[in-house]
Amino acid sequence: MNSETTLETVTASTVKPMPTTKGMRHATAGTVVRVAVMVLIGIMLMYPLAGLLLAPTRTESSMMHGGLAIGTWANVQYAWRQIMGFDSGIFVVWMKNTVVMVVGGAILAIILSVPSGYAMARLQFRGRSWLIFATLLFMVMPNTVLVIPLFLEVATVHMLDSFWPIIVIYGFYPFGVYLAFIHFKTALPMELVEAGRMDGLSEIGIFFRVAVPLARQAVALVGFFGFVAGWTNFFLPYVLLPQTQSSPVAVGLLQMISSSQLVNPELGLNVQLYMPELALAAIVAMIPVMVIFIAAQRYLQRGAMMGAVKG
Amino acid sequence: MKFKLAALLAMILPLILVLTGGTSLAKTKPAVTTQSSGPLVLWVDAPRVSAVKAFEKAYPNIKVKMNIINDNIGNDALEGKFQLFNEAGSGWPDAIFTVTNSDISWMTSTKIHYAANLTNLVPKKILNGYAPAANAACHIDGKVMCLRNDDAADVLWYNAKLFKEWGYKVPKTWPQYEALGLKIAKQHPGYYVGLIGDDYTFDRYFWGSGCPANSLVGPNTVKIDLQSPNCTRMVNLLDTLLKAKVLSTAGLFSTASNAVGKKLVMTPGATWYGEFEFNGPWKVPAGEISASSPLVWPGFPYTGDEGGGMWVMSSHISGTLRQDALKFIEFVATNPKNQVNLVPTFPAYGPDEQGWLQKNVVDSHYFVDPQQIVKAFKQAVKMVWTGHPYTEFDPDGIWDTTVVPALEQGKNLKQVWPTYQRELVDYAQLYGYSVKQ
Amino acid sequence: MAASVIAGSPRVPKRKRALTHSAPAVVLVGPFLLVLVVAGALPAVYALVESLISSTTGGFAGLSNYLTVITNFRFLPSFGDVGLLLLVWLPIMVVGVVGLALLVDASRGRFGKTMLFVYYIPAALAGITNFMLWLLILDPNVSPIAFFWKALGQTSIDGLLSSPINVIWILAAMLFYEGSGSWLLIVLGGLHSISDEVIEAAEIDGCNQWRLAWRIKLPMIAPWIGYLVLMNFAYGFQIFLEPQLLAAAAQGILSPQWSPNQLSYTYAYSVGNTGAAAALSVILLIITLGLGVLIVTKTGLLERS
Repeated sequence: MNSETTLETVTASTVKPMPTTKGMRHATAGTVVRVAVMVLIGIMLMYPLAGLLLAPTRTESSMMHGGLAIGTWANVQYAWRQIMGFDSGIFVVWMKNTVVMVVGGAILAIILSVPSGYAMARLQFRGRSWLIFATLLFMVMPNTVLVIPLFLEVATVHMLDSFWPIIVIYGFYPFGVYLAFIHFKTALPMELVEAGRMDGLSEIGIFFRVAVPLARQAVALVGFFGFVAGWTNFFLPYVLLPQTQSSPVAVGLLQMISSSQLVNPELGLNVQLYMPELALAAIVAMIPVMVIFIAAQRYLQRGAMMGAVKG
Repeated sequence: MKFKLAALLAMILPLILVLTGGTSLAKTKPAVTTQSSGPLVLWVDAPRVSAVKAFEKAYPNIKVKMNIINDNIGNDALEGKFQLFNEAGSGWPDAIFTVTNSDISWMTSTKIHYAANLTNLVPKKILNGYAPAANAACHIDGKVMCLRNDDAADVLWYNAKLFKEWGYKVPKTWPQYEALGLKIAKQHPGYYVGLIGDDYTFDRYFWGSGCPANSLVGPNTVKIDLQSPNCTRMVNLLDTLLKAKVLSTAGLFSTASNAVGKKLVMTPGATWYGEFEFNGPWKVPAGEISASSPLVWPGFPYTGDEGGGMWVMSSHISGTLRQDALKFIEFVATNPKNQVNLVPTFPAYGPDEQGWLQKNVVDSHYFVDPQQIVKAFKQAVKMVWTGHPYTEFDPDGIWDTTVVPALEQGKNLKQVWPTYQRELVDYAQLYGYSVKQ
Repeated sequence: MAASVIAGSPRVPKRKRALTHSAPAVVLVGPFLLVLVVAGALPAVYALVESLISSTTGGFAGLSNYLTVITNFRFLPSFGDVGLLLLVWLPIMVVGVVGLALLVDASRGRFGKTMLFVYYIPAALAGITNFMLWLLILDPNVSPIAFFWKALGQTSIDGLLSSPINVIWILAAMLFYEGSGSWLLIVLGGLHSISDEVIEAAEIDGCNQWRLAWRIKLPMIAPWIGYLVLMNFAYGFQIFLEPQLLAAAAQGILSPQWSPNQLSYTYAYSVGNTGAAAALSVILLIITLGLGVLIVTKTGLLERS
């Protein structure tokens, strides 16, 4: 990125007209510092990641010197063949499994969280405080507390190794309710709700006609965070899906790592799984999260909602 | 809005009392369901997939459902699954391979009670094929609870090329090993005679020395006495060599060991070190490495053992399913189609030894003096000390969390020894053992 | 000046509403409530009950499970570990995330968007993928920052993790690396909900960017910061996966019961004492919740209207 043009665009877009030239000069100096700091932090965060991204292009022995280096595309192809050779390409099955359960869970999380977040923020009803309290309680509840009882519950209804319980549990997303709650509380002016009531809309009508059109950011936030939380969850699917064939990629990846010669060379595996191969598997496993982030980014940014609030 | 925590408690407590007061929630173990038909559900780690494939080829009529497990990282989790299966009353595999040997202790425990008693199910002919020490880990309370896959008895590995160059004689006893180690320290600084920074270290050095770190002396009673002379003689020996800088604190499987491996003049080590360390990540060229009979203490002719997985069958099956599962574990543990042709580690089943040694040692062209290695291996499997059982707390794992950090911080074994003793006792008690010290 | 600006922000008049909306609330909240009961409340009550039942006899055990875990030899050390971690990591996390959010918020336009993306990327690696990355970073022999480890005199991952203080710093770095991106988005969400009028009014009053951030933006996102503190405290306090994986990376040089939650896990899955495991979880929950209530009341997290 050209640093000069960056500085210009940043200055132009962020610094609003200042009343005095003194303020202007001050802001520019501050801008330079800010941009420098931000770029530096960015480099620090990206450097180790670059090591991971470049690992598949290198050979196992060339990695023994550490540092960063770019290898060849042929190495990446070799690494991919090794991954696909592991248990007849089960890696692809893991990716598909993850997409199904995580997308299902995120959609359910949106459907459940947005209306209840709205109700908790903008409606008066008995037990409202309790519901908020319960939401908060489950948000901070240790994962391990619930996993054993959940397993027993799921086993009772004979749904182990089924994706449905996982989807429902991912759909139970108190954090999402809380995001929606805060969103409606802060970004949906009570005036709009009142106006809806004046127009004779029912409370449900107000939710669908007034709140939902302004809830894009809440939907994006809940969907996005729900997706990421599900995608990176390990423990729950590990317990509820005992079969390798139904594992999500997080569980599968750990299995791959622990099967690799890196951890125990005694094992004698049919494929070569060393650092470059495992790094490639990890990179492929994170691609969907990146894609979702890019797709949701414009909603995660200052969105259309602000205009609506002001209008 | 106010949080009425007291009100919440007031609401929940009566509920709990109602629930717990009644007998309805008192723990009743679900009735043990024995399954007698259906596909054979097998859980194996990735390297054992080929064994299952070979079985399917040999028995095309038996329908198999294979599940690959990771038994290596976080094997607590595997045990946890069985815990949950027990609560649910279903879900167990019909047979399983375990690469972490201490798993057999919980698989046979009263609370998990997974492993089937094979004593009368597996033909005597097969059971007698194992050298007593080779399948000793599977003999629990006088019953055969599993079949050993491979035997990882310790021998003495050494670099024959360096020994010849420097004119050394291969040591036969630990005192000779110590003396030679000190000589190497003086004459060839920078070379090593062993590694002590991994979770096989205890097995490698202390098992064969007869050190009681978890000796079972009664039902659920262990003796943990690290001040026994059987332990301290090895502590003194290792501290001497550590001080002389001929022992590395690198772990066996760490990338740090790769540099050490090339500089190893000799080391006690399991039968699999040749192929999976020297010829593996350590990349020592062919024509240098050989092995001889295990190091022993004078008057105590025993050695240790580092791993060697086990085949375990479920106790929750009956009928044809049990017959099929039996065929399976017999096949994978003893049939030369698997043990000689496919398994890369030294078979525990005696009749397969010779074929395997021929294929993997004599014909490999990697080793020096293969006939001596053949002799050493055959000898070593009969010399494994049977007084070191697998318990639910694992002296190896505790070595890793207690001893290794201290060594890395520059302490010696004598200094960390009381801590190691205390941690062993703590963990034994955590797992419900009564401890004699 | 600042006070007048805040007062001008859209706020709901503080008056008690006479009417309630029970029927529409049931429609909107009902489905969530149902799932809350099935996937949250039922299992939670079960865990609570479990903590009062003896695993061996199956009868009412009183507080004996609690006694068992409190007297466990890893109980206090594991709380010490986690306490130290929170002491080191939480300030870094809160200051880091809020600082980054203010920086990004001050950089509207393409540069801000690009940097936000860059800062977010590590968050995509949470969990096992993050573990893979750290497996690479922490091994001085293959690490991209091998020069750094060499400078510190580290030659192996075991050596690195054998010092308890190193473990704390490494965990803090891991947690910040995987957690900061998502929290950055949440805090930014808060910053974005500050209306432009407020910012413009402040600027007309002569506020520079620094004062704007410190005097106007920070107070207005106090609930988000409180939330950030609460949730990260909860995560750090109940930390499980990171030390578990770190132990695996170093082939077990870390205690498998490094954190209280790992101890609970050991009880549940290895010792087979589910009562003790549940008791420890309840202890963790009560402490987390106690602090949660404190933060909520202090920052007015729930009382903004």
